[in-house]
Amino acid sequence: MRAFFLVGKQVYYFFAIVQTVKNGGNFMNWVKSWYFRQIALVVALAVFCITAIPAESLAYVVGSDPQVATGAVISGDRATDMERVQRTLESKIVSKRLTELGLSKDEVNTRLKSLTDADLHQFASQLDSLNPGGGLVSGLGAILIIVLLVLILLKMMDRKIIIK
Amino acid sequence: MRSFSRLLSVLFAALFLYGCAGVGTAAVLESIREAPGDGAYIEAVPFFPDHTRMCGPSVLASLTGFYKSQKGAGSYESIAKAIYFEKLGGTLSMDMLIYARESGFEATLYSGGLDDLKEKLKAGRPLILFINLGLDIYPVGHYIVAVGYSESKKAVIARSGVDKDKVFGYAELKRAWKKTGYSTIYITPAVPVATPDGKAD
Repeated sequence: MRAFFLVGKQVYYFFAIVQTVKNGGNFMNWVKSWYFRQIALVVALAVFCITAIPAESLAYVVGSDPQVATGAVISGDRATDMERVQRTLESKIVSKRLTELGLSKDEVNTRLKSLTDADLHQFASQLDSLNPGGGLVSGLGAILIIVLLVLILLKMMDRKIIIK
Repeated sequence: MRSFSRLLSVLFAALFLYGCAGVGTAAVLESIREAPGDGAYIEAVPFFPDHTRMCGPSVLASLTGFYKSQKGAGSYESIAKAIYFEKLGGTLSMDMLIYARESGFEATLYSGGLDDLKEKLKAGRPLILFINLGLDIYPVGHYIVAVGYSESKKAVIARSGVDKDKVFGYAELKRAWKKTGYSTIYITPAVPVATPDGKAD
């Protein structure tokens, strides 16, 4: 019954405001109205909640030990904490590099989940090993062809290249 | 004009040599045969020639084929389908690790070196090397399977691209390998099996 009364009150306020605006009432009065304040409050809360969610949602692997997996109380063991921090950072480094290469978030996450701590450490310390392999023919060939084209272009522009 | 012609001829020679294969292979293999203690050669490693961008699947198929009694080792086609990344025009080393493990192998990526390579080859264990044939700023990643070496010729023999026994001089290999931090992939069966050379893993 009380809920019905509250909803009715809201509807009444809404139509009252609409009527005021229609009749050329003072706009500031409408803005200062109780109903408008309620809406503003709800909108502000919604914006706060939405912006609180991080834009990047890559799955940085935090830890694989049972304590973390079960959500148990984290021990004060410094070594364990350091390992966890290291793993998170390494995971982030590898994710960033894979994203730069052109992998989507899902593709990165799938791979990270399949890697061990040792793999992550290795890839993070050897970032060049993350590059794809397979560009043998097109890569070297392309470089030589580009150089040839540049040289021909320079020749056409009457520029000289002297090799001593 | 003369300088320009000279430069062009150098570049065309580079393109020609780039297509050449197996320079000095016979001499290196001969040196290993003559002095087995001075090197090693694992002949039984299968070869899957590749002239496109499939060096990743090609080398992985070589390794899994070498341990062919291992269950789960897929064909070259199934490996290519699983690990070749069309979007990147190549294969990621991590995909090779993941695929090998899912197929029942133990796979590790580590920073290797010539000494480690010789040791493994002596023990009859081929290795996948990830080398960069381009520049640091323009990497051209390439996978090869090291199958032998000759200390007297200071050369490593590898399954590479279209070459079954491509010879890399120590200096040449180190230059290309260093750019990837000497990335090495070591794959062995999770369950010990006898390799074609009769050595138990």
